[in-house]
Parts: sequence; structure tokens; C-alpha cells
Amino acid sequence: MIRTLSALFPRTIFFNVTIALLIVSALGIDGFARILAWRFELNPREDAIELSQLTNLSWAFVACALALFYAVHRVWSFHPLWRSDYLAWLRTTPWRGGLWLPLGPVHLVWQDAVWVAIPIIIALYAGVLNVLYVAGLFFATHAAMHVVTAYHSKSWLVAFTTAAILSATLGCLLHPLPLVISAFLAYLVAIYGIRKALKKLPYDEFPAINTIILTAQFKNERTATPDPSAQLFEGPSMAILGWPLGLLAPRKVWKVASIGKKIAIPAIFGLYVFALLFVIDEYRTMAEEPNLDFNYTRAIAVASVVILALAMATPYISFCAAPISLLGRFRIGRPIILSYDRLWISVLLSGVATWVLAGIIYSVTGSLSLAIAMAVAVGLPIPPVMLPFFETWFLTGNYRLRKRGSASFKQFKA
Amino acid sequence: MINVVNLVQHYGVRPVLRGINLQVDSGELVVLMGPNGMGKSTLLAAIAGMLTPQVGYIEIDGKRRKSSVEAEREIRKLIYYLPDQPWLPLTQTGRNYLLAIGELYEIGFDRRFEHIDQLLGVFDLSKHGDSLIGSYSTGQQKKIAVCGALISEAPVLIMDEPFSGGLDPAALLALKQILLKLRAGDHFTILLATPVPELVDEIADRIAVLRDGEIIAYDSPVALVQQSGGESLEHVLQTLLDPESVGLLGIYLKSRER
Repeated sequence: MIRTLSALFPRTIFFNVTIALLIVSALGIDGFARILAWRFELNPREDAIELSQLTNLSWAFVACALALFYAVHRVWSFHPLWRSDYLAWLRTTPWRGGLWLPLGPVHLVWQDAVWVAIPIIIALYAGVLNVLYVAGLFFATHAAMHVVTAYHSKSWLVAFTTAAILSATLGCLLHPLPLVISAFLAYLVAIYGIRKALKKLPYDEFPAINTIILTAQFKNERTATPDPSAQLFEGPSMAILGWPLGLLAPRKVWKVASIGKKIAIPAIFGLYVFALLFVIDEYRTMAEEPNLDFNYTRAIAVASVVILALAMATPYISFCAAPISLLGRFRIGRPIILSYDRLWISVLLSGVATWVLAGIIYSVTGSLSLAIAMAVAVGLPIPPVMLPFFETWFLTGNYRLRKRGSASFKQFKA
Repeated sequence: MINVVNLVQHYGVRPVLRGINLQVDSGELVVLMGPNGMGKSTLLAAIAGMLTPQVGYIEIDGKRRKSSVEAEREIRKLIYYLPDQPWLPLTQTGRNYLLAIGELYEIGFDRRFEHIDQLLGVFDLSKHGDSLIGSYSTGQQKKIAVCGALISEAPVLIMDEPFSGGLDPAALLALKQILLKLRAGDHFTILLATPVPELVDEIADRIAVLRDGEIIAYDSPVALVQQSGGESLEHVLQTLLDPESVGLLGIYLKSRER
């Protein structure tokens, strides 16, 4: 019992130093307020309300930070997929999925309540924050970490379901009890999936999450990772091999996103947009402020979609320049090269679709949140669906490779 | 092995390559020569897959480049492209870099290690093999890049000016000997660009002369000399590459006699 309690205590220096600094800061603010109150004989509730509020807010912030950090720590430190050294070591042991993890469980145990009680007590002391928010933050963060873990371990359904439930948590931001319930529900779904995925460990198809950094690959050769080069050649850059070999050479692994994922991820994103707008709308209604302006909100949504669409097209564009320069195209009377410009057209279409669809849905339903969320959910998947698989594009696309991903391709001009 | 058909390439208005047709047979070593800015690097880059041909196509071992994912995958296993200014991973050691390339081209573990040791020795990099590439001199960086091409054991080597870029005389001679050895077998097809006529005579099976985006001559060194009735390959190349400068050079040299 005590051993588990001790094992669960965060030992990451970064976490502990950050928490220590936050506590020291809050103590400093609290102490300063008390000294002032004593020195000038002030009553915090009557004469120094603002100072008192600052003190309480600082403690509330510490409580939230503690809950958040502990939630991250419970996944980060205990799930083998988040620790390459742990995963590599597990692969050398007789441990198999379904057994108790040697460093401690990934799912929450009752000893966690002891550590989570600390931020809750601090929140109670602060008095300005409903303690349910602290509990909700803990469960939501924990579940969000498991979304990443589940996604990485290819438990798509669990990852997307948990993420969808967490969007409801966001929508309940102004209602503490539903917020905690939805966050806990998200945790339950996530942990169900994680337990199933853990049974597949430590099979080789799941590399550790923190080893996807290509440049760190050689450091892992010292570990017992069965195929240290398995991830060396992933991704478009293969920076470790330099230019242009990293782009031209044969590679072993190509990451391909399925059509299902290309649609599911924007749909989840749409849910979050809906939840966020719902909360903002609710808050403004409660505060008796005017509702959000549709056109203004739509413009922000379109801008966000275009930025995200550009981000999705970036891997295609960053290594592959247009076959003919822009100036050259106009001079030869061929301004559009469809085989290349479809990258840009998909981005443009996503913005236009979002704009038009938001207007149509709003005029039909009159709901700003619904209109914007649905438009975003439809507009956002356009680039990933329209764009070819990266492998197809990279191997057969009409482009010229950029030098080291930069815009310079002067080296081919002679 | 390499078949370039009616290749046209331009970046803006000025055509860089105009209807290039070039065939390199399996086991051949072909040297591409031409004045600066006439499209040598563009041609090599297109063959290497850096560029998509705007007109025409390129075939490697009977498979057309960029025609399908499968064909392109197969081609990439066959070919190694060494540009004139490769960018190297400066934070890796030379040995690690070569190991990674060997791994990529699926060279067996023992064979890879042995080959790396040999190459590092031949190019006088044994002492630097475990140092970061960033600490190498320009010439040493060129050497490790050349070693990368050789460690791949790719059957098709496309090399853009491998003899330039600061190689010392020993490395130049070593590379020449290695290329001659590779040429002697039937397993390697090599296409390289070099501006050094003295080397060409010794290593080339055929020479392709590129001027104004077109191949104006493509034959063996002996045949080129015979066809032009020239005294030496050096003179033939000079005449082919830049006939105007030959006359101007004569005038210049005469003026220096006074």
C-alpha cells in the first residue's frame, strides 16, 4: 500500500521543480498579503479584497497546476509507450501484456486519491474555485493523455470516442458536476481501451512515443529496441541521411492516414468548436452580454480552417516546389498546373466550403454554434481527402524537390 | 539501364533541356560534359528523380520514373544520386552516416561494417570516422559523401561532379581507381558529370556533350577523336564545348607573346 503510494509520487525533476516554484510563488503572495494586513491592520474581507482575491487565485492556480501535472505524470511515467527506455527494458523481460506493470499501474488506483486530495485541499483553502473543477481537470487531462496513447497504439475507436466525450466536458465548462461526470466517463472509456492495448505490448509494432524524434534514433541503438532503424526512415525528411538522400532513397516505412481518420479527426475538431462556441454563448447569455456576431465568428472559423488546411498541405509543399516558377508560368501562359496546384486548390476549397456551408446552416437552423461547427467539420477534411496519400504524391507527383525543405532550388538551374 | 526519352525541362521561360535523348547501357560509365549553365545538373537531377519531366520520360531498368508507386519504389532501390553539393547530417558521425545508408540500401550487417572500414581507410578518414561530420573539412565532407554513394552499392550511380569539391590528390586517384573497378564489372551503371577532361579519357566508356540544352555528341572517347579528326580528346572537347573560346584563346595567347 505504502509502496504503491510512494511509487506513484512524481519524481520527474521538471514537474517537481515547476510545482515547487508555483507553491513558493503562492506562499510568497500569501505571506506578502498577510504581512500587509498585519502591518496596516487591514481586514482582508473588507479592506483588502483585491489582495485577498489575488492570494486565493494564486492558490487556485497552484491547485489546478498540481492536478494537471499529476494527471500527465500518471500516464507519462507509467505507460511504457511514453518511455522508450522502459519499453525497451520490458522487451528484454518476460513481462507480457495483461500482467501488472513493474513500475506501477497505468489505470488509477485508490492511492491516487491521496495525491489528488492535495490539490483539492488547496482549492478548498483558496475558496474561489469549485473543487469539482480540480477533479474534472484531473480526469480530463488524464483521459486526454490516454487519447494520445490510444491513438499511438492504433486503438482508433477508443481514441476518437474518448476525444468526443472530452468535447462534451468542454461544453460543460460552466457546470462543474456534469463536467466531472463527463471527464470521468472519458477516463473510463480511455482506460478500457488502454488495458486492451496494453495486452498487445511489448510487441514491436508500437514504438515509444518519445522516440519518434529522428535525430534521437541513434541514441536508442544502445537499448534493446529490436530494430533501431525501424523509425529512422520514417517521415518525409529523414534528416539523418542529409539532402537529397533523405528524400530520394528507398525507405522502409511510410505513414499513411486512412480516409476514416481523415474524416474522423476533423469531425472531432468540429465537436470541440461546437462545445467552445456553446460555452461562450452560454456565458454571454448568463452575463447578459449580446450574442456572438455570426459573420465575425464565421470569418474566424474560415481563417482557422484555412490555416489548418495549410498545415495539412505543408508536408506536400515543404519538400516539393512547383515544377515551374510562378513568374515563369505567367510568362509561358500556363498559370495553373493542375497536377501541382491541387494542393492549393484543396486549401481554397476548404475555406470556401466552410464559408458557404456556415451561411446555409445558420439560415436554416438559426444556431450559430451548430452552423460553425458543422461547416468546420465539413470544410476541414477537404484537403486531406482531396490530397493524394503522401507516398503516392512523393513517388509520383509533379514537382521538383526543394533543397532541405527550403524554397531554394537554384542548384538545378544549371 | 538508363533511358532518357525526349526530356524537356524549363523553370521559367528559358528551356534548360530541349528534347534530350540518352541511353546508358548496363555496366557502362558515361560522362556528361558541357559548359556551365547548360543543364548538366538538371539532367542528372531529373534522372535521379529530383524533378518531374515536363515533357518526355525517364526509364531506369525498364521502369518509367514516377509512373506508379511500385515502379518508383523499385527504382529508388536501384539508384543513388550524389549531387555536387550534398547536405550532410553534421551532428552525426561519419561512420553512423554510412551505417544508416547501408541499412537503407539493405546491405548486410557484416558486409556493411567491413565496407565502411575499407572506405574510411581508402579516403583517409579512419581517424575521423567517429567524429561528427560537422567537424570535417570541406574535402573530408566531400569524401564522406562519396563514401555514402559507394557504400550504398546501388547498381545505378548518378554523380554530379564527384571529383570536385576539395578532394585531395590521393582521394581523386582513389575515386578514379574505384570507378574504373566498378566499370570493369557489369553490375554498375554510372553516369557522372565532371569538368576534368584528363579524367574523362581514362574512365569513360562514352561521353555525352551537352550544350544549349541539347546533346550535341555522344560516343566513346576514341570515336569522338576520330569523328572530329582532332589530335586529342582534350582538343575535341574544347572545340565541342565552346568553339568560340578556342579562337579567343588563340588570340589571347598570341597577344601575351608580345
